[in-house]
Amino acid sequence: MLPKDSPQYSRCMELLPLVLDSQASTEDTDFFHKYAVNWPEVLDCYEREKAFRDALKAKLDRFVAPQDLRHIIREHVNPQNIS
Amino acid sequence: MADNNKELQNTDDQEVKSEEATESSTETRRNRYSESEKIDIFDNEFLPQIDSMYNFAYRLTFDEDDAKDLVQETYLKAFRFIDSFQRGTNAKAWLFRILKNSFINDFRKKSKEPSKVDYQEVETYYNSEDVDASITTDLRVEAVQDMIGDEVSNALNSLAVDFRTVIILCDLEGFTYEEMAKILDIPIGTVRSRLHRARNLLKDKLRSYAESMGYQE
Repeated sequence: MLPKDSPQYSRCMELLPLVLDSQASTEDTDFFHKYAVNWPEVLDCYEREKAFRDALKAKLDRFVAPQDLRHIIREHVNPQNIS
Repeated sequence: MADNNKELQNTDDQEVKSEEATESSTETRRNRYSESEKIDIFDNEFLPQIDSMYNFAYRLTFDEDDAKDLVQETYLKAFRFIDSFQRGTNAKAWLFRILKNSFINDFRKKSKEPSKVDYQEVETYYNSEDVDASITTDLRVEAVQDMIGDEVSNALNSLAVDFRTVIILCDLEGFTYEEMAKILDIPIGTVRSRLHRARNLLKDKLRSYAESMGYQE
């Protein structure tokens, strides 16, 4: 187990929010998962935050555009109507 | 929206042109698409985004008719200024930016919702380089999983619109920080701070529901 004053710990903590939001590169994501196992609290935090984001996505329905909206918009859009 | 085209031309030209000018000076050139190219871009790059656009509009306005008007207005603006869109680039982000600006400039003026949150507190609270602060406060996820969608939706809807927006853009629509920064016209550090604060506020709201359901911290 690596100590918390190791450069890997600092890097993992930097990467944690980016990995959670899928903003980290593949390389950085791999780095995080490779080293985060050294610190259970980091892994625990990652799991809880990820579960929260997943639950949010699952619970929030997506509203689909009404069928007629596409047609209404398309009817309005032609070069003669919009100059 | 009977004669939306004229209405748009009369009321919004200045603001859209200003917005486009800003964008074109930094990252885009104006194109001269043929009429058939415009229709092709509109049909194949813009219209496929309509469900995401409507979902965003509905979550901003909470009203079906307002959401429809907002999406329609956004598409008409997008078509009128299609020459400043670079074909093959991120149409969804481009459209979301127009929709967000239309909402701020037109719809939010009509609503009674407070227009701004106090960002001073937020920016002070969070330093984008302070990674330890970027993890949100704790909440039992099992509680959220046991809630029905309406409860989660209500909690999200109760957030100020600027906080609500970043959660929608990031967690529901999957935009990158960079895309969100462009859509919202704010620095990436502010995107991160606002997101961090928004999630904490949402967790506070959800915690109240969780406690009412018998969950204990």
